[in-house]
Amino acid sequence: MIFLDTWREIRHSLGRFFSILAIVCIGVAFFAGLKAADPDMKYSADAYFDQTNFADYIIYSTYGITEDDIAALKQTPGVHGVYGSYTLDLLGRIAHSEPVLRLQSIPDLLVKENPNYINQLILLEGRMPEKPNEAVVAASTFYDYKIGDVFHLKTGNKTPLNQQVRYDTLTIVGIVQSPTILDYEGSAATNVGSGTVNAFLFVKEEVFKSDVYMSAFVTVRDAKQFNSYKDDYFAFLRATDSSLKTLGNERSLIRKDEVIGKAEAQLAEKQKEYEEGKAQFEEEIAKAQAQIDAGKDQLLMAQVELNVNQSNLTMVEELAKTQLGEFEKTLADLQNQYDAGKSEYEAAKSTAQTRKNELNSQIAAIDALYPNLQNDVISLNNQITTLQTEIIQIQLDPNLSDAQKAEAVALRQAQITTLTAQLAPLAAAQTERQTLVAEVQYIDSSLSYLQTAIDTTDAQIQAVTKQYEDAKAELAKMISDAKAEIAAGQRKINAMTNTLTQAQITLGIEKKKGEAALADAASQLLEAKQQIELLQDPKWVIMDRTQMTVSYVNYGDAADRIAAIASIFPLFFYLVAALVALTTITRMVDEQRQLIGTFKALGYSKGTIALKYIIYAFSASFIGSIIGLAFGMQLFPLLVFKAWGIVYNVPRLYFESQPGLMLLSAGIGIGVSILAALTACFSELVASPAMLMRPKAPKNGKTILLERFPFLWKRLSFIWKVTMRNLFRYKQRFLMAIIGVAGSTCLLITAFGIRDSISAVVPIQFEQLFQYQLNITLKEEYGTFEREEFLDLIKGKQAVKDAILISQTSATITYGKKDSAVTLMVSDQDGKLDDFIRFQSPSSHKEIYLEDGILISYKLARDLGIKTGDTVSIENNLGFTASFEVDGIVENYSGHYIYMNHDTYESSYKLSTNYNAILIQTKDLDREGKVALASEIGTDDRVSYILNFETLADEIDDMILSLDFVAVALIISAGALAFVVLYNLNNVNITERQREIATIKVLGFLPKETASYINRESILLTLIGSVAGIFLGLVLHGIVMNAAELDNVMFTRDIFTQSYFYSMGLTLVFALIVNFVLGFKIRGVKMVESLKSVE
Amino acid sequence: MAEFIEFQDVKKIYKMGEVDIEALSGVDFAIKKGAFVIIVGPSGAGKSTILNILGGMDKATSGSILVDDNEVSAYSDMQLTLYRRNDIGFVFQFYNLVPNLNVTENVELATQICPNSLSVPGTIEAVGLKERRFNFPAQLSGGEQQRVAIARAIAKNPKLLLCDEPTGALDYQTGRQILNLLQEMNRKHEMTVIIITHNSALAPLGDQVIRVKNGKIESSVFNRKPKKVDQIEW
Repeated sequence: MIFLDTWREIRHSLGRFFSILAIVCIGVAFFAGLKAADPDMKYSADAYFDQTNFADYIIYSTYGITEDDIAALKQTPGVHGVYGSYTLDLLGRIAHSEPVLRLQSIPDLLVKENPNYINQLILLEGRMPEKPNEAVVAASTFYDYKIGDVFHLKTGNKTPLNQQVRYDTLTIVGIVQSPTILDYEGSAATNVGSGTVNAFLFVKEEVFKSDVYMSAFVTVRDAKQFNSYKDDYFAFLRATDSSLKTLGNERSLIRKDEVIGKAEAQLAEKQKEYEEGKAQFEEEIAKAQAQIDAGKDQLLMAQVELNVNQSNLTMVEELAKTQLGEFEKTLADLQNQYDAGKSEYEAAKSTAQTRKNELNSQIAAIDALYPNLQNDVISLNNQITTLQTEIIQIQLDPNLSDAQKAEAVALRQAQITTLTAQLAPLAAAQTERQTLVAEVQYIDSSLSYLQTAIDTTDAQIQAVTKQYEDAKAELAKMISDAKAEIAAGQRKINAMTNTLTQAQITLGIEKKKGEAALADAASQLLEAKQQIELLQDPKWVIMDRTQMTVSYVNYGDAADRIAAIASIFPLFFYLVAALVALTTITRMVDEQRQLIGTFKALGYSKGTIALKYIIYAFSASFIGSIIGLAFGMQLFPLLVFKAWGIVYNVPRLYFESQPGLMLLSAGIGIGVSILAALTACFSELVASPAMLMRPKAPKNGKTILLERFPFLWKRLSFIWKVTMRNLFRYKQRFLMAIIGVAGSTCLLITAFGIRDSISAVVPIQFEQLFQYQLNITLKEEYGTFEREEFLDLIKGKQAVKDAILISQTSATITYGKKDSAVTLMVSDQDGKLDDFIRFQSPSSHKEIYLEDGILISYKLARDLGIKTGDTVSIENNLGFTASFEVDGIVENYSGHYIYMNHDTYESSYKLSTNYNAILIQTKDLDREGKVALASEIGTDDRVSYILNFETLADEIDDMILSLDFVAVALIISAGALAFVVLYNLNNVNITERQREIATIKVLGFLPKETASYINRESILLTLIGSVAGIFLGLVLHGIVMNAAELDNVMFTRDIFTQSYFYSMGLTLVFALIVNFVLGFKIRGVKMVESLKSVE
Repeated sequence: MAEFIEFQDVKKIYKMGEVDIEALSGVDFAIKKGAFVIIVGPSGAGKSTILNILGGMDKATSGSILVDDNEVSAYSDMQLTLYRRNDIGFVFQFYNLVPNLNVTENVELATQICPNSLSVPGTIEAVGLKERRFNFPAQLSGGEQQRVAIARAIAKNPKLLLCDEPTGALDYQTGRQILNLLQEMNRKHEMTVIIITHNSALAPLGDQVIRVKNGKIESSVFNRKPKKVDQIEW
C-alpha cells in the first residue's frame, strides 16, 4: 500500500521529485567527479608510464656511466631493463633563431618489446630516425618545429662541436611524445645558451662522441603492476633501491681508480705540455729580444752613418766656400786687369788718334800736293822703263848705225835724265808718305794689339765666370744631395726607432700575456693536481621517479590539489541537497497531515508512515546518485584532465574503478536526503492523530525587524511587505535558496575568474610590468665592444624607441632551506632598467626603486618565505655565491626574477658584469611590426635568441581558449544548481500559497502582478544569494587559482568588474527563467480555489 | 430605474471528460442599483456558479450578462481582471486574508491597485477594527477576520459587493454582526450588495430575494419592507 501510495505521490509531484533527484545528482556528480579526478589523473599517468616503459630509476654518476656499469646493472636482481643514455645540450641554429637543444640518445632497437628501450617515444607524426643525422623532436606548445626542419648544431660551451658529436646538422623526421617530458613547457634548465632547453631531440647513439654514458635508465621487474603514485609502488621498489645502492658503491670505487688513472695520465701530459709551452715561450721571447737588439744595433749604425754624412756635408760646404772664393778672387783680378787694360787702351787710343789725325793731315797734304802721286810715279817709272827698253832695242837694232844708235841713245838718255829728275821729288814725297802711312798703320796695329789684349782679358773673365758658375752649381747639388741623404737617414732612423719601440711594447705585452697564460696554466695544473688529490669518491646518484623529473611530482601535486578542492566544494552541494530535500518533504508532510493522521488512525506504525517519505527521498536520491555518478565520474575527471592537459602531456584519460568512492558519494547523497525526510516528518509522526486531523494552525504573521524602521517599511508596497515577511518566516527555504544561489554565483565567479586571472597575466606582465617588447639574448662569443655596437645599431632603428644592454643570467637563490632557480637581471650601466621594467608593490602598486640591495619577484618571495630586509644567498651562473639584502618584493606573474644594480653585482661577486641581453622598447607597433622588427634584428649574427612578448601572449591566449570549456562546464553546473534551488523554492511557494494567489487574482491582480507576488521573493533571494556568492566565489577562485598555479607562474587574483556583473546577471537570468517557467503554474491557479474551504 | 445587473439566459456547462454537467441551465434575473440582494438555494443549486460568473472569476458558456450597461459576458480575460479590480468587492466564506499581512496591510492589498479607493483607516474604523489595525489575521477571531475581509472589499469602493456565505464559518452572534455591517454598508454607501447563502432564514433581509434550484431561478421576489438583522432569527 505504502509503495503504491509513494508511487502515486511521485507521479503527482514530479517537480519536487526531480528537485531532489537533480540536486542529489549534481552533488554526487561534483563530489564523486572531482574526487575521482585525482586518482584518475594519476592512474592515467601511470598507464602512460607503463605503456612507454618509463624508467623507474635514473642513475647518474659523477664520472659518467660505463659499459661495465651497464652490464653490472643488468645483473642486479630485480632490474628488468637498462639503457645507457647519452644526453647533450647544444645550440641549434634554425632560420634566425638559435634555440637550446637537448639531445638524448635512443637505442637502435625501437620495438615495444625491447626491455632496454626505456622511456619509449610515442610517434605523433613522421617516422623515427634511421640515419644518425636525423632526429625526432618532442611536441611542444611553445616551439613549433616541423618535419624537415634542419638544425645546424653549435657548441654551447668551450668544447668544440666536433669533440662532442659526429654530425653538425640534424634533420627533424618525426614528432614524438616522451614520458620524460610530462609538462609541455619542458622547462629544463641548462648551462647552455639562454639557460632553458627549448627543444628535446632524440637521436641515434652514434651521434655522440662521449666515451661514457651520461646516465642509465633502469626499469624494475614487475613494477608496472603498481600505480607509481601510490605507496605500494615505492614499497615494492625498496628492495631494488638497496641493491642499486650497493652496486653503486662497488662500481664507484672501480670507476674512481679508472678516473684517477686517466686524470693523472692527462695531468702528466698536461704538465709536459706546460713545460714545453713554457720553454717555447721563453725561446720565443728570447728570439724576439734578439731581434730587438739587432734592430737597436742597426739603428746605431744608421745614426753613425748619418753623422758621417753630416760632417761630409759640412766639409763640402767649406770646400765650396774656398773654391768659390778663389774663383771670385781670380775674377776680381781679371776684372781689374781688364779695367786697367781698358783704360790704358782708351788713353793710348786717344793719343794714337791725335797722332793719327796729324799723320793723316800730313798724308792729306802730300796727297793734296801730289794728287796722283802714285800714278805719276808709276807712269814716270813706266816711261823710264820704256825708254830704257827702247835704248836696249835701239842698240840691238841692227838696222841702225852706231851713230844713229848713239844719237838715238843719247836722245833717249837725255829724256831719261829729265824724267829721272822729275821723278826724284816725287819719289821723295812717296817715301815720306809711306813712312807716314806706316806710322798710322803702326798706331792702328798698336791699338788693335791693345784691343786684343782687352778682349783676351774679357774672354778670360767670361771663361772664369762660367767656371765659377759651374762650380757653384756643382757644389750646390753636392750639398743638396748630401742634405737629402741626411734627411733620408734621419727618416730611416725614426722608422727604425718606431719599429723598435713597437717591438718592445709588443714583446712586453706578449711576455705579460704569456706569463699570465703560463701562470694560469700553472694554477690550472695545480688545481688539477689538487682536484685529483681531492677527487671525491665517484658517487652514483640514484633517482626514482619523484626525483627524476619535476613534472612527475608536479603532476601528482596538481592531482592532489584537485582532491583538496573536491573535499571542500561538493560538501556545499550536499548541504543544498539536504536543504532541498528538507524543504520539499516538509512541504509534502504539511500537505498530508490529514493523510498521516488517517494512516495513524488506521493503525499504521510510525515507521510505516515515515517509510513513504523515506522511500520517496530514497528513490529520488538513489536515481539522482546513479545519474550523478554516471555523469560526474566521466565528466569531471575529463574536465580536470583536459584543463591540466594544457600543462601536462598525458595522452589519454583512463578511469580507475573506484567503488569505494562511488559508494561514499552516493551514500552521502542518499543519506542526507533520507535524514532530511526523517527530520521533516518527525514532528508530525509524534503528534496524535486527532491533532493531525485538524488543520494545522497557520504560521503566524510576525512583526519583523524591518518594521521597526517605519520610514523604510512604509515605503514598501504590500507585495514587498509580504515578500519580506515570507523571507523571514521560512528560514529553511531562505537558507536553501541563499546557499543554492550563492553556490551558483560562486561557480560563475570562479568560471569567469579563472579566465580573468589567466588572461590578466598577459597585459599586466607584458604591458604594465615589462615595459619592453623584445628580449634579445646575445651570443657569448662576442665582446663588449660588439655588443655595445649592436645596441647602438638597434637604437638607431626607426621602430625602436629605446634599448638597454643588461645582464640576464640564470642563478639559484637560497633562503633558509629552500632554494629556487631564478633569472638574475643586472641593470645596464646607465641604470635605466626601471624604465624598462616597472618595479611595484604587488599590493599597493606603489613604485619601488632599485637601489643597493636586490628586488625579488613576488611569487618567489612567497614560495621561499622571504620578506623585505631578509638576507638571501644567490649563486650566479659562474658558480659564485654572495649574500644580498632584499630591498623589496615586486609584482610579477611569470617567472622568478631577481633584480640588482651592476654596482651591487660587481662589488658582491667581485666580477665584472657580463652584459648579455638587450631589452627593446618599440615604438607603437602592431603585431606584424613587432614580428618584422624581431626578425630584422634576428638576422644579426650576434643574436642568440629573441623573445617576442607578442608571440608569448598569443600562446597564453591559446591556453585561455582551451580553458573555456572548463568555464562552460562550470556555468552549466551553476545553472543546474540555480535552477534546482529556485525551482524548488518557487514550486513550494506556489503550492503552499495557492489560496493566496487565487485570492489576489480575485481581487483583480493582473497576471504580471500576481507573478511578481511570488517571484519577487525568489528574485530577492537570488540577489542576496548572488552577493553572498560573490564572496564565496572569491574564496573558491582563490583556491582554484592556487591549485592551478605552476611553479613559476602566478596568476592574478583579480577578477574583472564585468565578471561580477556577468555572474550576477547570469544567476538572475537563471532565476528569471525559473520564474518564467513557473509563471505558467501560477497562471494555472484557479480563482475558485479561493472559495474552497481550508483543508 | 434601469436594471443594474441583468442575466439573460445564462448557461454554464462544465465538461467533465465525456460527461457534460449543466451547472446553470438558462438563468435570467435583474437587479437594481443599490439593492440588497439575497441569493438563496441549497448546495449544488448553482448559486456559487452565478457568483463566479457575476464576479468575473468564471465565464458563462452562453447567454449575456450586463453589469451597469457593460456586457461582462463578452469580456476578455484582461477586461475581466480589470472588472474584478475596479467594480467588484468580494467577501469570502473563509475570509481569505493574507496571513502575512496585518489588518491595515490586508486592506491596502486591495486599495493599492484600485484607482478610487476609500481611505484605509476610515474603512477599518467603519468595520470597528481601529484598535486591531496592526494585528495579523492569526491574532483575530473569525468575525474580526471577516470584518477585515469586508473592509478589504468595500475599501475598493466597488459598484458591487459580492458575499459568498459571509456567515458560513461564523457563530450565530458574529454572523449577525457581519450581516449588520453589510446592511449598514448598503444603506450608507448605497452599494449594491449580493449575499449568497444556503440559509433561507436570511431571505427577509433582502430588498430582493432570488431563489436558485437545480441551475435555474426558482423565483425572484422583491421585498417592499426588508427586515433588519435584529428582527430575524435562525
